[in-house]
Amino acid sequence: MNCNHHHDNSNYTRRDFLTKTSLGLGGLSLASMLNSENLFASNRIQKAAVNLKGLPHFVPKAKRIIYLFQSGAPSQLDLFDHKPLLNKMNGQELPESVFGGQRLTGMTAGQSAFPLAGSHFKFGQKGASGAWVSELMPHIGALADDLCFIKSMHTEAINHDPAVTFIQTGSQLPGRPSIGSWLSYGLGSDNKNLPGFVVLITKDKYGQPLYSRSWGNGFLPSQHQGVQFRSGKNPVLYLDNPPGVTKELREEQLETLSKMQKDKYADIGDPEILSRISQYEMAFKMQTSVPEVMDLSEEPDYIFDMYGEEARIPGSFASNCLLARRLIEKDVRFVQLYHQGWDHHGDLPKNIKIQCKETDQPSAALIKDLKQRGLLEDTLVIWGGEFGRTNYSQGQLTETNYARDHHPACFTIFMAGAGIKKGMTYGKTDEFGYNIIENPVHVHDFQATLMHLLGIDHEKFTFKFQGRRYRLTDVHGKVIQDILS
Amino acid sequence: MKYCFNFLIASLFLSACSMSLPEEVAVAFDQIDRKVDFNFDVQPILSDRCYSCHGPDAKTRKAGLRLDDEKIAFSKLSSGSKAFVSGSLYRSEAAHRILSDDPEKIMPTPDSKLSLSPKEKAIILKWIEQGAEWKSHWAFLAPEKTAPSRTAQKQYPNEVDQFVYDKFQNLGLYFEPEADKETLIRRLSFDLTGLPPSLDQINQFLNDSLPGNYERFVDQLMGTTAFAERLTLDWLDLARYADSHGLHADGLRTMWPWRDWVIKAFKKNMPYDQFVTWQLAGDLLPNASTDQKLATAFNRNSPMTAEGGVIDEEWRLHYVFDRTETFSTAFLGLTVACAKCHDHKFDPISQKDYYQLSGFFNNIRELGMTGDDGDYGPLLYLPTNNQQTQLKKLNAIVEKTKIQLSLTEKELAEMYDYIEQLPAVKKIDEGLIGYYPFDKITPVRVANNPSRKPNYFIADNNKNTKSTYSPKLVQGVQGNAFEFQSDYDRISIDKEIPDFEWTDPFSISLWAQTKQKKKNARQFFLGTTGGKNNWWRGWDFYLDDKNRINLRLINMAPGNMIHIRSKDSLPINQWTQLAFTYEGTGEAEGVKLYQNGAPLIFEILIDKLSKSIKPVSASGLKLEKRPILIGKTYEGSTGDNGLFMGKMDEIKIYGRPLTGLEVKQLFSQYSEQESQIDQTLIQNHWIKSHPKYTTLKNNLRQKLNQWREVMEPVLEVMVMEEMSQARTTYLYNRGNYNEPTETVETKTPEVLPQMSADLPKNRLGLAQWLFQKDHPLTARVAVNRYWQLLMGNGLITTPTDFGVQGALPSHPELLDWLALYFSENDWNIRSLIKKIVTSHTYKQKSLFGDEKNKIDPNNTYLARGSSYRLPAEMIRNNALAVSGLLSEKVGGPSVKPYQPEGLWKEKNTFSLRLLEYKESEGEDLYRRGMYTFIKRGSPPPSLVTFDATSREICTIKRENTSSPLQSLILLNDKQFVEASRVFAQRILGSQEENLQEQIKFGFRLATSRWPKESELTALIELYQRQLNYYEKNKPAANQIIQVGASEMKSSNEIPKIAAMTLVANTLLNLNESYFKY
Repeated sequence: MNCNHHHDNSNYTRRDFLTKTSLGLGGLSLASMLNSENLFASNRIQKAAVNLKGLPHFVPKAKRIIYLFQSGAPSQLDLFDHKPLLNKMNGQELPESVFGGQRLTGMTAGQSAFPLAGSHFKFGQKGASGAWVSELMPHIGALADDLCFIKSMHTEAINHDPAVTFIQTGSQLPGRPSIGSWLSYGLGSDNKNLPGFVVLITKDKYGQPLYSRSWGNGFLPSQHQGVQFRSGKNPVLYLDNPPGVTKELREEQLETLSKMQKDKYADIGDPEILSRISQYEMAFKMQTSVPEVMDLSEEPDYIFDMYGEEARIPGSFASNCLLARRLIEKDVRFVQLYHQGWDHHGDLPKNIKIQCKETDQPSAALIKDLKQRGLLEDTLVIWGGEFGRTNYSQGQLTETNYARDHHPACFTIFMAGAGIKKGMTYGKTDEFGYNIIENPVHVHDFQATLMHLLGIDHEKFTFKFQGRRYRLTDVHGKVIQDILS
Repeated sequence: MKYCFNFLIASLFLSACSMSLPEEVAVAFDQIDRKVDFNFDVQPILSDRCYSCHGPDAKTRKAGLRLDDEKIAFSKLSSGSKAFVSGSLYRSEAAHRILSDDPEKIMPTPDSKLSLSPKEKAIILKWIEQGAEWKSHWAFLAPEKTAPSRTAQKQYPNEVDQFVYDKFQNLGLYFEPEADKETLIRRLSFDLTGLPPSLDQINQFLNDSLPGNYERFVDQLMGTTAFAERLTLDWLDLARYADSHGLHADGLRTMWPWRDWVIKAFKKNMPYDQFVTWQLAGDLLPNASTDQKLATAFNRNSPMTAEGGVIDEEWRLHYVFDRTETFSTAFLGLTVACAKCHDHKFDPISQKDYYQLSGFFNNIRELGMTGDDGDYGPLLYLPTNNQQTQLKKLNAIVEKTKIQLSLTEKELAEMYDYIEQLPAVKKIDEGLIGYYPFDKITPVRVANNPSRKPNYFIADNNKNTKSTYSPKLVQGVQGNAFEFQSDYDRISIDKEIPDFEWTDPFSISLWAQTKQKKKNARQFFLGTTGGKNNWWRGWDFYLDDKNRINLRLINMAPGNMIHIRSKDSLPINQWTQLAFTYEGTGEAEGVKLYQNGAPLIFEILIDKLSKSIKPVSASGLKLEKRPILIGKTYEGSTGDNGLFMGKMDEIKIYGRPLTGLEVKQLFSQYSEQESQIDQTLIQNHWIKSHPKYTTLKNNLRQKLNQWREVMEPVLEVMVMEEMSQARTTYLYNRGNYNEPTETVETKTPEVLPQMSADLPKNRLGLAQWLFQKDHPLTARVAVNRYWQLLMGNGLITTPTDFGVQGALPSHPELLDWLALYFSENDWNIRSLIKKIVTSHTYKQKSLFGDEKNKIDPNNTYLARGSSYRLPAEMIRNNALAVSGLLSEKVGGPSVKPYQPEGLWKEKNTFSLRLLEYKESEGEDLYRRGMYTFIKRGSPPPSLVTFDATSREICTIKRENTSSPLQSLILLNDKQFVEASRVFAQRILGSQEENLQEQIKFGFRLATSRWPKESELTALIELYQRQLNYYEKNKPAANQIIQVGASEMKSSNEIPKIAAMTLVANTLLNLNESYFKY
């Protein structure tokens, strides 16, 4: 019986309202009066959060997450999962015993041969922890002792759309809430002027598609969908006043609106009116708070040295990394970056270099930056894609070229920060980099662990919809205790 | 045993309620002073907390106990005890278990993370104590009519009010008075048309004080097309209608003709049973009309993928499952999706039920992987009237020519001139447009090639015949032949062979020797068919995985093409001559297959070709010359690239249909034996070459080409169409396509009434089953949805779950009464709606008295009118309507109103048709919200922010939320700013003399009522202040008035318009403007 919100504020009488509020935007914040920490999670949801008593279920290690999603699936075999055997056996057929009849995508299923392809890139052991990282990722390599590599990730989907949907929503098919919207719904936001779930997409960087559903709310109320912050004039859709309308004019307009609405509330007592008034207040505040947080001009030069010159280009991955830090500083709960272009079905050696150049330095800079600000202690950073890539070449293997198809059976991601062990490599694949031989981590395990770090028992955190309790991890998932600090 | 002992101790402390209870439970227990009902009180608890382990799912059931099955719940378990014993708490094991604090004993178990509240425990205990009366789940029993109380009947003429009134008793609730007329007309207008009332309508309604004025107004609104559009909007959510495919490339599809059919059906007030039957099975009705077939597009609204590399069957099944789940959500109000993986945890829907139901939707010829843009699978042609006339005319001519042709054939057959014309020549050169002897392969190096490797190879010194690698030269049937061994030594023939149209006759002969039968894959001789994004367009000639010989001519697979397949297989390791001839008539009948000069028997798999087979570029943007490929297909992403492993030789391509005689002679050329020539072959050859015949044939070809050209632009829509041979349906382990476990029948769920034996076991039977008299769900589900449409909430607040986990009806008697009223009234949607909106319940004031709110904060019992924010589309409609911008155009392709730039492209560059969002022009910028183009992967932000959905799944009830982003849209979205500006012009241009009157006029337009003094003052003040600013800052005024594409009419009053724009915008931001009150 939740279509209307009338009951939400029913404990406030009109008299309360009229005596406790001053009119006008500059006055007492209605939001605080309505006991709403977060207007993106409107009053009704506050109530829902109370229903989900005890959230967080236990003391969280992480307060926020930055998830640097590498869309298209980076090749673990060229970045992190070092397999000298592939170089030794370069060009030879993938042995049937290793292949084990796993399903293939339609892109290579028709191939008459599956020649193993050794990486063209040099690997080295980094830091005291000795993690293997390829030469493509020098900055990340230098941070190895702060990172936790999971080399035994595996997923169920073999193609991008279902795999991205799976890792972001826990189901391969559309219809479920994304990670960020679960968190927004469950934990609300700690910032009054910014949404709790922000999405940043690298500009002009095309590749495998992105879908709104990856940051969508599914069956959760729509204010929990991720809000995309875009580079350029209108960082949040419809944020800017129309041309010719100054801030002052707008303020006058909103004051009139607010006054009329309050009178109306006094008349008919519809609490929904109050909720709306506070939404307008919040909207007005966002008009200042969003551009402020997006404005990198005050960042000192050494920051740009760290993140790279690209960070000066709005919408670049580097710029978005820097922006992620700024959002985290403002206590935005979940910042998700999307960087496309990792789907290397052709010319892998050439293309992966470009990708790494774009992402290596800024990703590392973000972690360093968080660390130097003391934010890494309660911020979790995740870096990775939706599945792995094959150890055999898709298409022709030549001396100078190879490509890799999708491989769901193993891939590597890394995490850093709050609650995660440092300098650790978890899980192991076979010599061929084809199958996991130690400590497999399923996507649902990854999601369960992520929830755990935020103080949530993923089995308890459910939402009842269409007669069933749904959760991010479906009916699976176990927390990977071994990587927790 | 130990437990029993404890229990004996406990029983020494029997209280009044016959068992010692923890204090909180005891208090709750004592408070229950009524008869506890199993359906309404007990089962919701049992299902929610207990069924996971003690419910319908056999696989996860613990201790053999089922609490959803009366017999088992009351019988002796293996442990010796019984879960429930009527009237006896201490003999009911369940009672002890829920009260226990022993973690080993307590139910629900601690690891289930579920628990029972003291009140819930008390309810179960009370029910046991009162005798534990068991009832079947209410929703699975047919609705029954109950009479309202006599007082209610006396007091209220409308049955709706009688039932609502009866519920008030004991609750201390009462009706609010009828809302004032302005509120009422606005409420009704939005509910029934999605539009605000016009001033004329308001005045007319206010002035009409004759009895029945309200009913007349209702009738008037229900007669409008806007009413049909309003009902359609909700149906589009239910049917997950969209203009893009949804998955991966998320390309363009053409479903809007179906949407227009829905509008038409509502406009006609088509009875609900017919409305649903057509959509589920219109194609199966006797002599199905175009409209009946078009209605079945309902089931093709499912999202589809075109992602390269996906496994076809996996996704085809997803579409079947999507239909199954949409069907049950929409019509049965049951969520069966859980049963895809296991027996339903709560409802008596088994996994087998799920797959049996899926059988109804599993029998159309469709693909799992489609192309990025376009429509696939069974397609329905929708020619315009003009096209239809032309096609009809041409059809008649074509038919006439065909008759002439066959007469001529007969006539010629009776002559014997051919006897003297016995062919002496063996060489057949006429019409030979390509000859590929495969005798030689030469490397080619282009200038500036630094490497030592050749760039490519050419065959037979023919520069149009290229290969990346070099096939092996081997002994052929004449001279050498090519043997194909690697993935890259395939030959392509460029330029010299034209791209055939299906009106072009052509023939091919070749020699082949294959080494294998290829599991699950084809071996391609040659052809031009493209990949998925080229809609597979072209022709091809290949061996399938059983080495049967196939020929296809494709416009778009599998909806528009010819496909034939030989009955027998090609032997392996044997040189064989294969040939086909094609007459160019666009029919499978015009095709012949030959093996070693003799005709081959073949099956016609698909014979539905009407449009061009000339290759196109990706997404069909333009025609594109495509070389013929030999030994491999162009498909790179289906897993079936058709690699041919073996030898080929002597390929000959003719631009005419060879006769049987000629094919035989072609074979004989390479054979040492002199073959016997049959007289009929000679006769046939003579006829087919006779000028009388060929002239007519050319004539026919010309007409067919004209026909095809008219046909090319005809709309095609994805519909349902049964395959002649039913597909086998399986039960799949956890829904995995690659784990079928057993075959299942096509059948409706066991728990519901059986399908009458005389009904066909197909979609038509399924539709008729829905409307069987004893069906408990169909009518209830539908009336609940219409109740929700008018009241904001259904009588069941979980409209997609009428199962045991769903909410219970707030007014079960009313729900049943309405259900029966609906079905007994010929499923008349309008009279159902009229019954509801003419009730006092609907017409009440929606005021918010604190006192009533305390009793019934959610307005479950309807002691006031309902109020909520309007649906996204109506908020848009309102702004456009009051400004006068709204277009009243009905139907047609979806439109693209203003949208911030770059939203499509930044997410997805796969679909070429939906790469950039290109705003509509003119009137199409101002269409009703329901016509806005829905791209599922990037739905229109101005709608989804207001809880419209991305239409990826069947939605029966939208959320109704509130967020600052909504405020930003109303304040800053170009559409709302433009509407405010045009609204301002309307206000200023109104006949009203002074500012006060003008603003009053505007206020009334926006809210349907006159402003109060204080409101007026506030707005005038706002106007004056803003005017003051804009008079001093003309450039700013100039800026705001230029927002939007619509014309600026007056120009000398720019500051006024600018100032009034903000006033108008304020009006549109009042709750009253976009809320229902």
